[in-house]
Amino acid sequence: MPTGKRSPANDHPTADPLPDQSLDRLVPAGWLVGAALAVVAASLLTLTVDALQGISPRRKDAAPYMRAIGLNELALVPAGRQARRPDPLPTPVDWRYLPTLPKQDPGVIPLLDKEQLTPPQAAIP
Amino acid sequence: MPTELACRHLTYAYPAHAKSSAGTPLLRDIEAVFPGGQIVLVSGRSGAGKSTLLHLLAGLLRPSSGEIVADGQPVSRWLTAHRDRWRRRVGVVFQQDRLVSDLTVLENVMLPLVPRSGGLRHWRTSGLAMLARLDAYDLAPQSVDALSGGQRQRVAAARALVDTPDYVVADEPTAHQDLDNARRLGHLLRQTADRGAVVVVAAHDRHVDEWLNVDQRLMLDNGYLQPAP
Amino acid sequence: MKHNRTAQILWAGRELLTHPGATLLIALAMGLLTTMIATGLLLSQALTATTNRLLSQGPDLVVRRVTHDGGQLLSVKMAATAMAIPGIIEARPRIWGSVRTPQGVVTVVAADQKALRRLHAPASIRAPLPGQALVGHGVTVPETDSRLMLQGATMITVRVAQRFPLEADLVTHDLVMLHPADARRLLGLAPEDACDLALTVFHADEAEALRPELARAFPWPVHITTRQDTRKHYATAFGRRGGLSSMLYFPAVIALLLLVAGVVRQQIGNRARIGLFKALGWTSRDIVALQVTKALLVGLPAIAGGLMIAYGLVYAPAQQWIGTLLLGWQKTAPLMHLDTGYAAPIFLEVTGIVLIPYLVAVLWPSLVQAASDPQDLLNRGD
Repeated sequence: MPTGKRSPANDHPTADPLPDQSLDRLVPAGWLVGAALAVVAASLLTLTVDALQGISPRRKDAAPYMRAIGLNELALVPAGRQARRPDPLPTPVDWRYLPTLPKQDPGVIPLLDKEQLTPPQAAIP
Repeated sequence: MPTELACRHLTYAYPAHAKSSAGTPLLRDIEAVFPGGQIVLVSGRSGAGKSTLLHLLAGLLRPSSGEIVADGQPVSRWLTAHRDRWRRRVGVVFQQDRLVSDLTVLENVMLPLVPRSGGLRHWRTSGLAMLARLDAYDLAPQSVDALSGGQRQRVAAARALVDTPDYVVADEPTAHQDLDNARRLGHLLRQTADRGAVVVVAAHDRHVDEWLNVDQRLMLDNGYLQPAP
Repeated sequence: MKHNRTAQILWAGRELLTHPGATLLIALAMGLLTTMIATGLLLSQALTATTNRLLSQGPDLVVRRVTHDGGQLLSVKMAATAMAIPGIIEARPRIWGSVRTPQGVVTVVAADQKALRRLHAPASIRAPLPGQALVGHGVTVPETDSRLMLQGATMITVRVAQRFPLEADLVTHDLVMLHPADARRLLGLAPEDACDLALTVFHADEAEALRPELARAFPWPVHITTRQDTRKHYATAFGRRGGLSSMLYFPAVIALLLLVAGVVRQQIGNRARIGLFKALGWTSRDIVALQVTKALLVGLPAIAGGLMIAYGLVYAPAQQWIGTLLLGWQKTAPLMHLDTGYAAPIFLEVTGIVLIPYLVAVLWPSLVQAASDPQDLLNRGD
């Protein structure tokens, strides 16, 4: 470390053989570079593990259950929603709503037709 | 070792995008030789173009016409890549020191060494040795913003000389120095010249002889460079 | 040389430390961008791959009777009709549907004893007895007892005897498997009724070709769904959701452009510094190498970190955010055990998308400045 003494201009003072590393910020720079390399290495490791798992997966997964249950839909979307089922038709058995309602929404017109079959009371003389 | 730096019909005018005096020649048809092994002093009034001449000699600018010749090579005409390489042999002390404020003193001195061969230990050792020769060893870990004008100049001089350049241009290198420190720098420049380097110093200090052993004196006046009376 | 190269990399790190705030900001911005883009791409790829793989375990064809107002029940004897068609090696009448519980809607399916035995169902599945249910982890029951109330054609209450394991959650999350008798009673089906037929063909590629024969074989109109149709359905559903989530890419692109503009501006602001370096003997090549090294020291770890976060978001063992945010689950979402092995091309793609514009933003001003005279740069930077 510098001693505070002035060195004569004519001399060639001997510099420390191992300069104090606190004179510059290259040590923290080294930590920064090391951290950067570590993050990149970790990412490459993740990639390697992913690739190995892709080649020879050792997962316990849902495939045997899919086979055993026999449905052709996955539980990605909540039950009862259109996106859950792969075909455009409603299930033949759909008790999401009240049991007394028809399976298909009858629409407005059939209901109105039924109404018109019964004349209003006021019209009867 | 190189023999000399020379100016051949060197003319420089401010470029067209300069705000004032665009097109006006600052340096006119300069013919001069700066031999190796000598200290050449260039003097003149403020605004005469001393800094511009030194910048041209250091390869920081290209002349408007004419050329700079170093060791027989027309370096001012070279492509950028070749001039960049040649500039590694040049040490420049700027008038405004131009230290990098977000680096420490030692890091500023190490700057010329970074792109060259040699590693961290060589940078630190060379930098500290040069700071010690200019009595600035204690300043090494400090931020340059904390330095006085004189200290900044010494650091700038250390940076210019750290890689033992073959050509040294120093622009008012002792403007803020006391006599002791000026003499210390003068002694270092003398040693640099004695090993064969070209040393060109610009100063309008009337007391320059008190700190610098000058071999040749030139004066810049009205764009012309002539031997000083 | 190697010794010096290491020292020069350290110097680049030192240069970054002169402006730690700006460096951190750029790194965070790049990391965040990377995470956004990579998560979308990884998720899309993983969902598609997982879905296709699992669906390949399901039936090749599903036949449903249709009328003018929708699907209809059919007789279990129709399985024999299907089996008579060359190429069909199994016809399985299915009993299933959607019913209500106090906590919401679930899918109910009757346990197929023969299928469970023949298909070597996992040992963890024991076919439920009458009054019992095998349920997924998304089916909630009171903690005091394990009774589950189901409302269909009738209301029944069963005891939850077992839960499907967590690794099956993608298939069984809100599934309730019942004894066939319980399922029929709940759904209001007669002993001869089935909801549809699940068919297995000898060669999966023949499924499409069997459609017309199947349609002719039944005495009423049928709707036939192949595995390909199912895959398309999920691809469309994900595509719609992907289209929505791709709206995230628009601000991501804007963010990338802003980042690039900011970096270019920062580089241009470095004129005086570059000029000084050149004056001190740095060549154009040294300066460009320094800038590129600095850019890589910031960019590569930022991108790498962003990619790892994206990977973690998609593949974390207990993650449920996908179901909650993207797939419409209100309460507990299924655990997504998605297929791995697809990260490499996506990592490369995203690295290119983010890193290349950033490097161009760093390189282009550096190249222009490095070719300039030092004093010009010093003067213009002042």
